[in-house]
Amino acid sequence: MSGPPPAPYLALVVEHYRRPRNQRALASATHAHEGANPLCGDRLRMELQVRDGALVDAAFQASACAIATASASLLTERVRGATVSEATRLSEDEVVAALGAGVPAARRGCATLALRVLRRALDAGA
Amino acid sequence: MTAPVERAHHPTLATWSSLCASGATRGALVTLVRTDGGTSRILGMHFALADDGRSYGSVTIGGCADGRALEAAQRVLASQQREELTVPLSEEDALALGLGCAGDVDLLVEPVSLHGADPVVLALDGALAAQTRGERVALATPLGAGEGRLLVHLDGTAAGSTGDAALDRTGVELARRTMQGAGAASGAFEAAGTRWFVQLLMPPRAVVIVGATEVAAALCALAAPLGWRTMLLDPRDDLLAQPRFDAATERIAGMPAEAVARKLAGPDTPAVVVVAHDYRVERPVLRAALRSDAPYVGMLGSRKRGVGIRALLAEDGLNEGELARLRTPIGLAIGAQGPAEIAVSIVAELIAVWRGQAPARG
Repeated sequence: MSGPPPAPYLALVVEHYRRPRNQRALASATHAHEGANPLCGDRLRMELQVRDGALVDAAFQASACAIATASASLLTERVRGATVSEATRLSEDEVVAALGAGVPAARRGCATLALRVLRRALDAGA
Repeated sequence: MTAPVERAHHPTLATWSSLCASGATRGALVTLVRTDGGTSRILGMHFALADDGRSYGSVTIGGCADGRALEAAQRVLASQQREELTVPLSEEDALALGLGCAGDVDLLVEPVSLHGADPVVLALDGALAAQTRGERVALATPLGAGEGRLLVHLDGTAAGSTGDAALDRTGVELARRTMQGAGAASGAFEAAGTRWFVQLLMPPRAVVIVGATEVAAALCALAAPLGWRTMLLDPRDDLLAQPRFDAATERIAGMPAEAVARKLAGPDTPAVVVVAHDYRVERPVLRAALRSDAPYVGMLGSRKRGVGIRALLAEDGLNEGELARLRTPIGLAIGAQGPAEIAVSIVAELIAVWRGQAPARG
């Protein structure tokens, strides 16, 4: 069966959805937040351990689609070891681009959920 | 005193009914106008968003298409501009994981003012009233640049409007022809250069239940939220008047066979479910029912009892074809025990028969 080739982002999304990195509870979390996409039902909790202005560890738990889960997986890899300042400067465009080309515009909310939750976690503390 | 029975409307009108009862003044109505063939989706199904933020119904059976319907309804409620959109039943990431449904659906999203002057309100309220009367009607909605909605009766009279008299005449004629056609079905049609969505609304399903028993009480209770009409027949007036049968649409005391014959003589022949477990009632009722056009004739009882009643009916002159129509033991084979579970198995078998999915009986 032939059809249009799959969009480039799909391979990375499927890989991270099947084997998400840092999907676990973080007992030593100093910062945490749980957020959702009310329309589609994605729900995601981000837990962070911040020490001396740096993210020593970052983890998440999710009931979410493949795009939102993959984005959280990639984001936690990216911010582990980063400073709080570096993490808060990450833009939505960067997070979407990290998934690869072709993420549908209608799914931008899924792709950026993890970043929005991360920012709220850093704002809120544990 | 028992609580009043909440009887569901036609599946495609239940959402409209809920929106009207919500007390909202405006809303956005999403209608499923095309599907690529999934059997669990019904053309004409609605999702509605009231201006107070409450939402009702579903255009599919859940999943991501409903999220997109909500998103579109929010947009239309704000813009007050009608939209048509095609929504995939699964996103490509779900398909890549092998977890999606292929295909898509077309949705019409309209702003509605919930007062009598809105043609959509006039048409849909008229459809609800027609359903209550057991009347066959059609709803005709112009797609594309059109607006409004028409409720069309078999005799060609109509309610609602498209805002254009010539377009109204086209829509009425199209709906009337669609209703009268052989194998009539809801769908999209082209007429006089306009695309239309024509939705046929058949009268509610009807079931004659013979015997005021616990199975009958459970059957009436299960049928109510499905929107089915239930007519409960029994010779005993006092028993029929008991509150446990309040869910029945109609209670008829008298000679069951005569009452069944009267019901079977009308249009849109009902199903017949005999749960009396009393041969004095079963034999004359089945004699009439098995010779009728009833789409379903079932009798509560064991296989042995089935053999016995068939032998008696054969003595009465029923032929093999007529006897083969009798479904006994009644209901789908789900290992049902007790009146409520037996009622579930009967309701499931009725759905299967009406949808042409009933397993063969032997």
